[in-house]
Amino acid sequence: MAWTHPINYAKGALIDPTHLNTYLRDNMKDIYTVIAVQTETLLKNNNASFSNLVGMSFSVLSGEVWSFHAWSYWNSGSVADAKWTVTAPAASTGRFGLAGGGQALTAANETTFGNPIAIASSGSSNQLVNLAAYITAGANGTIQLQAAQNTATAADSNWYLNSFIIAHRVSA
Amino acid sequence: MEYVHPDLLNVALRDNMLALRQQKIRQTADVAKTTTTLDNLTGLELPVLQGEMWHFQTFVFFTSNGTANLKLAFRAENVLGSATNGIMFGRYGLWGSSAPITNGHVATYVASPGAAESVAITTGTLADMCVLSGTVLATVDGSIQTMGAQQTASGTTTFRENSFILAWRVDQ
Repeated sequence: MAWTHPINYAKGALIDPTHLNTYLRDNMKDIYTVIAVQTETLLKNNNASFSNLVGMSFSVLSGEVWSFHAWSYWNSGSVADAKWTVTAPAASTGRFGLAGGGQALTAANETTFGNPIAIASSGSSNQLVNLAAYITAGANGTIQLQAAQNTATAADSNWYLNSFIIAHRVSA
Repeated sequence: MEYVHPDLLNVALRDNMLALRQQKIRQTADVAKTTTTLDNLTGLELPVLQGEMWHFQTFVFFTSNGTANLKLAFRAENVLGSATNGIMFGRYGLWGSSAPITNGHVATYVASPGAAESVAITTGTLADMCVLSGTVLATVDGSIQTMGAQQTASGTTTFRENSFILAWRVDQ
């Protein structure tokens, strides 16, 4: 349900149950927000296969629409660089992307969930990217962020715990 | 039986709901540009009521090229949809995986944004994302409309469907 501006209650006003449904239940649904934190650091060495950023996920139901923005703390060498993706339930639609301190390598926005979005690393310094997505869920399931080296390289690349995601459910 | 004082509902329900108010708005169609004339990014319009202040982030998915680059701006409109000066105040800026060309941020919402009210960044040829972030205070009911164009006319720059605005109300 879309947002409805809550009324001002005057002295002696009757509290109709529909008020609670409209101004409390439906508005709470409209502003429903999930905040999740990455709970362990992901380490990749000579590995360009995606793995979950543990904790950087949230559950969705079929037909729900969600938008999220996320902040991913990482470092990687300038040969390995870095890539991310968003996985979503089957038949989900929308677009996801990233912006950060490096130039896009493959693409920095995508419509196919599971495809990579990658940027160049400046080297060994710690770095930060902002990821965002607008998604209509095609089935019940989980929206999950993943990461890997863009080029498998025998050196450590890290995606650090305490990265976080803020997801907002969008009213129909 | 317990009597509920209306002030309790006003403070605990209405005011708290207003403090948590969010808006989530998506671009509903691709907008392709081959010129430097700003056009509306379809649907990316944030309504603001008189006296409200909002913080917002606009996640813009796009493709462009290294000659055209891109620029973005907001047009201030009244509640009738007419472009109007002197009704919206605040500041907005732009960042992405690239460099500012003219302005990285500006402090004016106007009826017809020109060079002084546009923000521009360099781009490559790959699909990418950038973020507009700002605050806006409305002196009348109205809206701010996101607009986009090429910084230099060359090829085609496409602002993608499912770009979106996340907005949070700042004060009551």
